[in-house]
Amino acid sequence: MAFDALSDASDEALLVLYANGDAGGARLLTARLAPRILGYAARLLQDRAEAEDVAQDAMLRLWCIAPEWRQGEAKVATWLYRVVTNLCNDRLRARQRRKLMALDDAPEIEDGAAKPEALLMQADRLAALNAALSALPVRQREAVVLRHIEGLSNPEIATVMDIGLEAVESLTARGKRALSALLSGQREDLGYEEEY
Amino acid sequence: MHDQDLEALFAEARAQVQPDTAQLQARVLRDADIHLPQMPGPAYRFPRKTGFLEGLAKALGGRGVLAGLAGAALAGVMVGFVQPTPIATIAATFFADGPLEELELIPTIDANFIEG
Repeated sequence: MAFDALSDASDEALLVLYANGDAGGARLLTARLAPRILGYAARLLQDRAEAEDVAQDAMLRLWCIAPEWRQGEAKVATWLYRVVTNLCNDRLRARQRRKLMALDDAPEIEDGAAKPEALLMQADRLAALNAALSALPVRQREAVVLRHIEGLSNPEIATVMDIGLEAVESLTARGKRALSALLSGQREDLGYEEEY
Repeated sequence: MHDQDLEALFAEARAQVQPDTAQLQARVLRDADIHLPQMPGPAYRFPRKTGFLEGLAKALGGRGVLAGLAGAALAGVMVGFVQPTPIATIAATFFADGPLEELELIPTIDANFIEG
């Protein structure tokens, strides 16, 4: 089927297409979802290479489950976020067990000598956000990233994290407060205007 | 940090595009090709060879009709082969004493009075 003709199709429709033996569905789903879950995994793991492995693993599970996918029960993106969350949690636990959580795991800021100042400042801000996120408890980090960066609704987050709505609200609120506290000392360094 | 600063930071993070996902997408698509479900095509049903009798029965309207016709044919053959027997031969079988010349339909009672 033509790639353009599918661009308006829902994720679920594309998955059904793939399950029916049409590789075009997989191409579009990959283009739509792989960068999203890569970004999410990278924020949880703070490691690009590991995040790529997780994203590939999650997509592989999606291909495998495609023939048994029951339409209307879950959204493909929500299902993928859930798989990525679980895979990331497994890796984070393994890291803790092996005590590999070293400071140098934090993403390095590229040498920005040739970059304009605004871009450098933005990179600094994002690095600071990632560092602050990585300092949050895992569940709070997941909830904050899903809500405020990935843009999922609270019911979707509840499905992804397998918790109730109240727990989602509590986690996001506490996570946001903690982030504010962690970043409060860097406000001016990150280019935000002075308080007045 | 203010809420609005944090929201602005989240917005920047949302807008951040993951650089160079081409390699990842290629890996993912390779997996997709490997696991691409093969849909079974519509199975072609070869026409079953029918025997002569089955074809004939179908043409005539069923096995019952064929059985009836076969029975009638056998009866016809039997009637054709068996020689018709003259009625005199059958009568001779029952009345071998000779031709019937006198028949007493109402026996008289004279025989009862004969002494002896």
